[in-house]
Amino acid sequence: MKKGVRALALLVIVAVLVTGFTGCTGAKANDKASANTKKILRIAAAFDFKSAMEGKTLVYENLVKSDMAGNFSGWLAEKYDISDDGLTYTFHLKKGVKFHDGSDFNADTAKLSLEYACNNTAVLGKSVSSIEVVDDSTLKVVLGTYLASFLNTLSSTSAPMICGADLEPVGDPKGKLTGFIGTGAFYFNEATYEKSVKAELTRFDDYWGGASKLDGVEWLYIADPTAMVVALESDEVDMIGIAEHHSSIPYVQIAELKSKGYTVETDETGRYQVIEYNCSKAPFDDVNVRMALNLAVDRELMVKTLFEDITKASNVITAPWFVLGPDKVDKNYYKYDQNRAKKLLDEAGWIDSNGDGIREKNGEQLELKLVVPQGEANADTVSVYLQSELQKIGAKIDVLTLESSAASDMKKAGDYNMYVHHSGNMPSIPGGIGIGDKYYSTNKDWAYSYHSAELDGMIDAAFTEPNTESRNNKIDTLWTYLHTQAPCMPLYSVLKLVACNPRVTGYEVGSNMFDMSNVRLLDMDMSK
Amino acid sequence: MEMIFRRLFLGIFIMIVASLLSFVLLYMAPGNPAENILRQRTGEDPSYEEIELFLQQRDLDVPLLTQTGEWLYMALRFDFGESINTSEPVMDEFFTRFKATLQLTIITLAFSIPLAFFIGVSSAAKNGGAFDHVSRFFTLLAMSIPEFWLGLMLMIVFSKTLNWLPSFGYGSYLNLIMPVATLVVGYTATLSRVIRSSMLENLSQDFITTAKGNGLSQRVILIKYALRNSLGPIVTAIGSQFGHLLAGVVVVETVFSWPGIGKFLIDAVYLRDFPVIQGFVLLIALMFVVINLITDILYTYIDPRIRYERR
Repeated sequence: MKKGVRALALLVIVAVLVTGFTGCTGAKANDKASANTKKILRIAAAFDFKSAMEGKTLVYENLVKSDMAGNFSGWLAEKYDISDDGLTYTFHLKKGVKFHDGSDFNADTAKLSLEYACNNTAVLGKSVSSIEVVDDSTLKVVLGTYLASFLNTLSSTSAPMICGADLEPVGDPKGKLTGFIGTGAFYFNEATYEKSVKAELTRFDDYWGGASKLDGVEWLYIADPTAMVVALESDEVDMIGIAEHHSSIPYVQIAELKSKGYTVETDETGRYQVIEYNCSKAPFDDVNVRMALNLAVDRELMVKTLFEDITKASNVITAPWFVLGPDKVDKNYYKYDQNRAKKLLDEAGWIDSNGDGIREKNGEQLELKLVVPQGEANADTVSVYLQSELQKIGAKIDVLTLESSAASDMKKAGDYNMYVHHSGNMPSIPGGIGIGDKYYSTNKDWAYSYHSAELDGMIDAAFTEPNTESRNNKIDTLWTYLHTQAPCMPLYSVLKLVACNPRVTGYEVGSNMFDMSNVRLLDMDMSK
Repeated sequence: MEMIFRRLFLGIFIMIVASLLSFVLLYMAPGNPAENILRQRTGEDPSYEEIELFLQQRDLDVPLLTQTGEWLYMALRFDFGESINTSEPVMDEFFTRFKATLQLTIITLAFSIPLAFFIGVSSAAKNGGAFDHVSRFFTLLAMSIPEFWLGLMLMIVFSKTLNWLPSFGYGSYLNLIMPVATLVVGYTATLSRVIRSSMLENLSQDFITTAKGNGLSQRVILIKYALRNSLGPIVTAIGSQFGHLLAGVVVVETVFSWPGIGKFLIDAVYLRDFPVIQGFVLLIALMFVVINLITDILYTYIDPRIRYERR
């Protein structure tokens, strides 16, 4: 009897093992073999293909495209016209564009796509008043109210061009997007997709812009950044960092990768890491204190010591090279000057009266809570650097690192003095200066940031102005005003880091940190 | 039999309570799914209008009680709804990943249990001897090594330096070696120490002295008398390890990109993907209930004196 039980137990274990392994093969050997004969670009990605917005830029395309600075041009719309009042957009669509299922892209599918986008993007749903098919290749969109960010939204992953078959129920703009059937240079293979393991994309030979030199792309899920670097070095992937908008490659690894012959691309995308101040309560309700802190940090030294000079220090709130960026603001406005910083704090009434190195005012110490949301790039090391810099002017910084949701709730409740964040990466309206954005008084997310009726008025005036030249002038005035108010401490430019093995050639950064569509331009030298 | 039904009934109650508790606690915790998921998808802070639209489209703007009631109604029919993040049925998400977790669990235990028995029994048999000292030192060391560190070290040596094994992935026998090795080290060490201490406790009992006096061989005394009587706590420890492994090993899954349930569940917690959290917690609780039940049944085989009748 006992022997029978043992035998049965053994049998069950063997059966489970065998069942468990039915899918196991010598996959690695096969992968290498196929990689040697075909130009399959193996990309490491920190997210599953279906969850990552970056992956969608390989499959879907948009009516318009923005470059890194925020200049728009037609994409699937060959060109577009905007009426003088900025309310009517007429899109002249490219001819000969096909979806991956072989169907044609035309004004009807573009209309369906925009209707889908309106149903799923609040800002479009609120602004678009009508979408009209003029003819097979002309689409007219009328806005109910002027929307400065309209083209930007159309160029984002919120408004992909889709076909009816991609929706469930088929053709229903209120349906669910399921099929990944776009017009992009690669098509997605559902049959070979493995959740949280890999996705395979194949070259779309009928791509309107000419078929890619690559045979395909393999999207390989690797959760850990260090494991990504190991995978690159052990030749299991060809490229890392491209599939994440926040760089997944540790900055400290760059020099080593370069020394080993890997190509490492470090591109600015205009996203700056900043420290937002709580301007609603002391001490940051005083502009002198905000300005003092902005002058007290040597950003150049920070970039040199923490990041080995691979990125640039930020001296203005957001990238000045954005089309609507602060290019007229004096770059030395927040230039490192601790003596001036100390003087400003003295003027604000913060004095170190007891000689303990920390300033006081009305019996309160200049002790500041710096909230660091988990996952904010390099924020831990930057916080420690800030602690040491600000101590020199008599400010004590308490660093509080929290899970991002908990940090966000503290921010909304105003329970912080300083908050590590990053500027928006929306080149057409950069740095949180749009209507309803970070520095607009109705923004509930950033209710304790700098707000004023004067600033709201400037923002309203600038972003309801359809005339480009007039709008640009108003935005220049706005930026100058905002910098005098020192609403945040700009730190450094967050880079998009991409590393690849020498086999991969022709890399060009996309139009923003999310855009991977330039993968179609890559080539691979399989002899290397 | 009555015991089995009683345990199962209690188990169902525990599963539902655990699942509801996890939901309510997370519901009250900071953050909401719309904000977290939209931020992950767009890389920007979503506006209030975007958040409202997202919640509205997924019926997440209804009161807590209504959501709980709806979930209970669906859960009773074994339908846990769809993931807010992936829009896939929770059951599909669970069972796709459970296969990978089960493989890792069974193979880890298939190595760690025999190894732990060998180390634990040998160590107890030669208590105070050289083998005992060495094994105690190494098991303590193995228990102290963090899994992420060991995993990365293995990866650097066997993938980067020697290029023998794949550093990530799933689907090949080779993919299993490093994750299993990482887990086996810690689990073997823990279990072998349980076996050793349980054996030592029994080896000092009167019945062992009697057996020795009767001239029984050392092997018979160790295996038939000491080990058999030590099996109670050992089976409990194995059951507990089995449960923990089945619930997902987040660190190893993250380091080796193993597509198990642990990493997915943790990501769901960060995103506040409530249907996934509730469904996964319920199913993981179900596994613990079943494992505990099996452990209890095994007790009666190991020690026939144990009975579970109602007194």
